This record gives sequence, structure tokens and C-alpha cells, in this order.
Amino acid sequence: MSAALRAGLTRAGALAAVTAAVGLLPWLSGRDPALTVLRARSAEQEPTREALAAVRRDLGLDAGALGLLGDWAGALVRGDLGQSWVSGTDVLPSVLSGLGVSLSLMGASLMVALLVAAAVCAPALVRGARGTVRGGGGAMAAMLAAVPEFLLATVLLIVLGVWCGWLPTSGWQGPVNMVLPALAMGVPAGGIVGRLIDDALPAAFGERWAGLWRASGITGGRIACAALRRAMPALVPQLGLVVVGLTGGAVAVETVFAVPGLGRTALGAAKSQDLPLLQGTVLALLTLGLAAGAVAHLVRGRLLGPGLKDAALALPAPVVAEPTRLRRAMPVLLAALLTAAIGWGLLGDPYRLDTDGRLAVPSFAHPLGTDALGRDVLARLGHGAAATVGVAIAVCVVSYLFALAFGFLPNVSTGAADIANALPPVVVGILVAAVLGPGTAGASLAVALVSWPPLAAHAAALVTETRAAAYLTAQRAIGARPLWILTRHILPAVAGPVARHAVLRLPGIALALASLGFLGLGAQPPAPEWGLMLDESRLYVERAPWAALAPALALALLAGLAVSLSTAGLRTRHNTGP
Amino acid sequence: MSDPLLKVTDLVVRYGRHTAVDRVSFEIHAGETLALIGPSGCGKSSTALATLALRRPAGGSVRFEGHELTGLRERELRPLRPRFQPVFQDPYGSLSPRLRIRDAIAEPLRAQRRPPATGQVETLMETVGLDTSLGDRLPHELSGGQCQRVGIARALAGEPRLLVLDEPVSALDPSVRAGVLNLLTALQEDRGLAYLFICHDLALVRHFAHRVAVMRQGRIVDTRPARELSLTALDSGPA
Repeated sequence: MSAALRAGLTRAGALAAVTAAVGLLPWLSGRDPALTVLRARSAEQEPTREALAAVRRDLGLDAGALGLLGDWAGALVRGDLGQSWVSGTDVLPSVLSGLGVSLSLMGASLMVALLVAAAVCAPALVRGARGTVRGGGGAMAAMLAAVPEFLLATVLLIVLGVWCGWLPTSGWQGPVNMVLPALAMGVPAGGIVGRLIDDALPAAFGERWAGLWRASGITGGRIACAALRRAMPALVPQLGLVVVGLTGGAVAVETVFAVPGLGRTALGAAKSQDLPLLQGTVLALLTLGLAAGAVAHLVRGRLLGPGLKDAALALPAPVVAEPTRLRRAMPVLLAALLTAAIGWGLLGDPYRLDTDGRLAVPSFAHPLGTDALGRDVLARLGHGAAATVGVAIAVCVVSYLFALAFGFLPNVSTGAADIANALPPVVVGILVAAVLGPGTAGASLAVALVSWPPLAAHAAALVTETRAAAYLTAQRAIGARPLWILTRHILPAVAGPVARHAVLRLPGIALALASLGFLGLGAQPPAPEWGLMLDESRLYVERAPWAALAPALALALLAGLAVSLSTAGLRTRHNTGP
Repeated sequence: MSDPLLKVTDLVVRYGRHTAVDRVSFEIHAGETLALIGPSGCGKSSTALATLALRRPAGGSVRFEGHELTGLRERELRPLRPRFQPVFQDPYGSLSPRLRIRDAIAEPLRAQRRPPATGQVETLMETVGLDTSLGDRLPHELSGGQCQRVGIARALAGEPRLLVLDEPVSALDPSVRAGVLNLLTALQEDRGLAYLFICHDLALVRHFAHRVAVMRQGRIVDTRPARELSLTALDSGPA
């Protein structure tokens, strides 16, 4: 009980810290917004010292950190989110209209997600109903789950919107506009949900009761329903996480399809340094994620019934199929493909402009064609690997070191992991960009901020486990010094497994970095970063689809690598979910 | 009679509000085995932990070789610790899975900053009846009985006077058990070791121990010579 209370307190504390960080944004961002605001309000006014001081006074920037936070929190309680620095209008109506759009988009995405999930786990249900249980397949679902929203959105836009011309590619006029964004957000979410159910079903069907029911002549259909019902309670909290993921995905998808929702508003506000609007939209996104988590918690309690709320009914352990040879070879194959493409690309010059050869079709000289400035796409892809994968490795190492350090404070780790679960990397990226300005450093920091807590939670679990081992008691009985025990026994027990976990997360970290680059929050032009390349080539997609498809393909390979690594029998990932 | 090696008086161990050990007193002389028996949850292991100064008691005194252990700080305890050593129930769990046998046995010496002399580890292995060729193996490559011998060798490395044996053979096969018990008996005769032997197997206790203390609900309810212990006289309750 006290442990639950402490965890709750940590969670509340971390939440307060995040809210305070949002409230302190104007102060945290050391850059002086006065000039930006002055330019936005009246372009003709000279930026004299007096004019700037007036703007600062007007914005309340001279109040200092605590005064600023107090004003903001006080106004927030009254339901006042302040005025936009750029347009001078109230923030609340913009946030509410964006919220409406985003909510309907998320609703449609959830419908898509449910359909995809149903399609993914249907085979397992049918097999289970027939009584032929088999260990988890679900490679297809895993693949769907790993495709980042911004990538799927771009590909859908190119294929269904531009080439086929079936559906509108931008705007928010009617239900037709909703189809592509909902697909882009719903399919990965459905992949995740479907995969979770697909993983849990064989175990549920393998439990004793299923055989007993079958022996007493109960139909396969009813057993399948009961197995689904059996698997649900443990999965519902994960569904909450999926909704949180949707709030992050909304930023990219709304931007690609020019949907006037919360995510796009937040991104725009971050780019134009309109901090009050940013505060309002980010707060709304966070609230949405937290509300989803709370609803999931309630539903889980309702599903479990009053007696079993605390633990008792665990998710049945997944039946892990012996990985086939193909599945073992898959990561090697994908990594080889990526390495080959990168190696070839590294031979070229990613910055050489050729204004005569703009948007050239693939040829011998330019195997993947050229982009809008006539730069070789393959060379940019190769050099971009350093920007995308190299930075990802650095982020991964930093997260790993943090995880090891904080693994010794289990409460901090689990609290941080909870908060990180409620914060999509994109939203953190927006916040960090608002403070530091867009750039590789900010993007790396943002991704590191959300990627260390799950590793730390894993480390904390291992530390606790190791500390309880009899051989550590023997060490204390020997009279070993604490530092000796730490360096010789605990660290070696923790370092290895957490390092493997960190490697598994590497492709995911690279994709998160790419998504920030895609949104303009990460690497800046002319850097050949993959996400940025995808974004730049989007404008010319009708004339030069290869320039967009090349980075898209590289990112898809990376996503495939992430999935195949995690399913190739390396199931060491620690479940940090509740 | 000489002074006892270990004298525990009115020992109290609490976990939160729960009193696990309630005013327990006993003493052990050099070369003697005192068995502590009782149903699970009666406080045997808590008594052992407090005796080893691994758990700070809420009250009472633990005197070992004339030193009062209960008030000492960890730094002051450190030089005394090699003199009283534990042997645990789980043979595999009590060895680090990452240390080779040779290193596991030398670990107490290294931790005390007294690197083992040449051949010292081999001598210890021979003492506990382990083939020295096993030195380069990892614990999971050994049998349970061999691991338990490694645990005993590690405990002997600091030249202890008292071993606290917490169910040392209950995880082993009956055939291996006899070997480990014979080893412990031989060591006691050679070196005059004292044993605090925690156990719940009455038949075993009658053969192995000199005296028996029966614990129930945190208290010692009876102490008598082991040969006077009759299986019927003991109301063992729901063990």
C-alpha cells in the first residue's frame, strides 16, 4: 500500500514538474521573444529599446520565473490561457477548435485501429476456436506497428492522394478529408493493439480452462469470446498508451495533411515562438493523454471486478514460438541492405548543387536521382545515416548511462517511466524546441528525455532482483564494502541486460529523431537527415517521387530492423507497463 | 565451562509492527552444534540474520568472542565478519552466476583486501572435497552439492569460528546430503568450528546437532540435548 502511495506521489510530482515546465516556457526559452512579437504585430515599427521593453512589459516577461509561473497558473485555474503573442487573440478558442478537430480525427483513427487490430488477431482467434493453438506469429502486425505515422502519412499522400488522385490530400472540409489522416494514424495503432492481443491469445487459449470447456462440449466461438475477455484486462492499460501515441502521431499527420487540429497548431506555435498558444495546445495534448490513461485504468478495474483490482489476474505469459531461420536472418539481411546503401551513398557528395540536374530521374550517375536542388539523393541518404543513426547511437548511449545511474532509485525510475509513457517524443520535441530552438541538439535531448525512463525501469527491476539474491547477502556477511558490491556484483548483473534492451530500442530512437527532423524540429537544412529529406522532397513528390521514396524506404528498413530485432528470439525487453 | 563463543541474549527482531523474533536467548560453545528448529515463519532465519549482524535487532545483545555486535557500526564490524560466516539454503543462488569458482572462493579475501596466497584457493577446494580442476567453471556448470561445497569453502576462506548454516542441505538430493553433512562434521572435528544449524528436519537434527532449540512464533520454547529429542514429544504443529 505504501509503495503504491509512494508511486502515486512520484507520479503526481513528475506531472507537476512537467506542467510547471510548460508554464515556465517563456522564461526557460532564454531567447528574447520581444523582437519576434514586435515583428509579428507591427512590421513597420522600429525595434527600438523602448518598443522592445514595452513588449516585454506587455507580455509579463519582466516578472521573473516564479511570478510568471504564478500568473500563468492563476489564469489557468480561471480558465484563461492568455492571448496569443502573434495574433493577439485569446488562446482558449483556438485550443478548443483544434481539440474538436483532433478529437474527431482520433475517433476516426481509433475506428481504423480497431478494424486493423481485428484483422490482425482474427487468425489467432479462429485457430484458437478450432483448438489449434500456436505460438505468436504476428510479424505483419509488428511491421505495421513499427511504421511511424509521418512515414505512412507521406506514403499514403503520395500513393492514394497524388498518384491515384482518389482522396483529397489536405484541408478539413468533410468526412472525405478524414480518410487519409485516419488511416495514417490508425494503421500503426491498430498494428500495436492487434499485436498485443495476438501475443496474449495463444496463452489464454493454452490455459487449462480452455481445454476443460472444450471437453465439456462448449462451442469454439464461445471459448474464443472468453479468451478475448480473458486477455483484455491486462491489455487495456496498453490501449491507454496507444491513445497517448495518437496524440504524438497527430502532430505529424495533421501537418502532412494540413488538418487544423491541436498537433498542427502546437507545431506552428512552437515554430513561431507563440508561447501562450503553445502552452495551451501542449497542455490540451497532455490532458488528452492522461485522460486516456485514466479511462483505461477505470475500464480495467471494471473488467476485473472489485476483488482483483490490485494484481492477481496477470496477463498470461506469451507463448514464444521458436524463431524460424528466416526470422533469425531477417535483422542481418535488413542491416546488410541498409549498410550497403549507406556505404554506396557515402562515396558521393551530399551538398554538391547541380541546378541543371534538378529532380533528375535515377540514372547511372545518380542511382536514386537528384532532389530539388540537384543534389544526389543516394549520397544524401548515405551521409544522412550519420545524422540519423549516429545521433541515435549517441542518444542511446546517454539514455543507457542515465538508466544505469537511476536504476538505483526505483521510485524515480518508475515515476519517470510513467510520465515518459504519457509523453510522446514529438510533444517533448516541441517543448524542447520552444526552449532551445529547433536543432539536432534539441531533438536529441527530447528523444533522450523519453527514452531513458523505460531503460531505467528495467535497470531498477534488475537492481532490486540482484539485491535480493543470496549471494549478495553473502557479500555483506563477508564484510565487503558497498562500493565493492556495487562495482563487482550489481553493475555487472544490470549492465548487460540493459545494454541489450538499449540496442533493441536503437532503431526506434532513430525513427523518433527522424520524425522530429521531418517536422522541422531536428536537424536543419542543408543537413542530409532522413526525416528532413522526406519533408523537403514532399513538395516535389509529383515530379520526383524517388526523392521522397528513397528516404521513406530507408526509414521503412529501419522500422523493419526494429521489429525483426525484437522478434528474433531476443525477447529480453522488460515489460514496463503497469 | 569456558566462555561461550556466541551468546545471544533477549534478541528482538521486528519487521514494521510485526515481531519476528521475541526475546530469544541461546549460546554456542566452540566445537558445538546448536540446531534451531521450528515451523516456517517462526523466526529461525530472522534469528540467523540478526546473529550474522545482517539485520539490526530491535533489542537484546549478540556477543561473539567477547565483542558486542549489536551496537557496532558496519566499519567496526568489517574486520570481525570473516570470523562468523553464513552458508545458505539455495546452492546456486548463493554464488554469483558471473564469478568462476576460483574467484568465488577468493572473493572474501579480496573483499577484505587480503589477496589469496598462491595455492590458498586450491587448498580450500581440497579441504571441502572439490576437485581443483573445477576452479575455472561457472556455478551453473556444477551440481547442487558441488555448489554447496563452494559455498562452504568461501565461508572457510576467512578462517571462521562460527558458521550459520541456514538449511544447508534441504535443497540437495538425499545421496548428496550425507556427503555435505559428513564434510561439515569433519570440519568441526578438525577446526573446532561452532555451528548454528537452522533446519526443519527432525531426523537430521538428531544425528547432526549436539543441542536443539525449538522455536515457535518468534520464541524459543524448549532447549535440550539432541539425543533426548523424541519425535513424538515434539508438538510440531502445522509445519
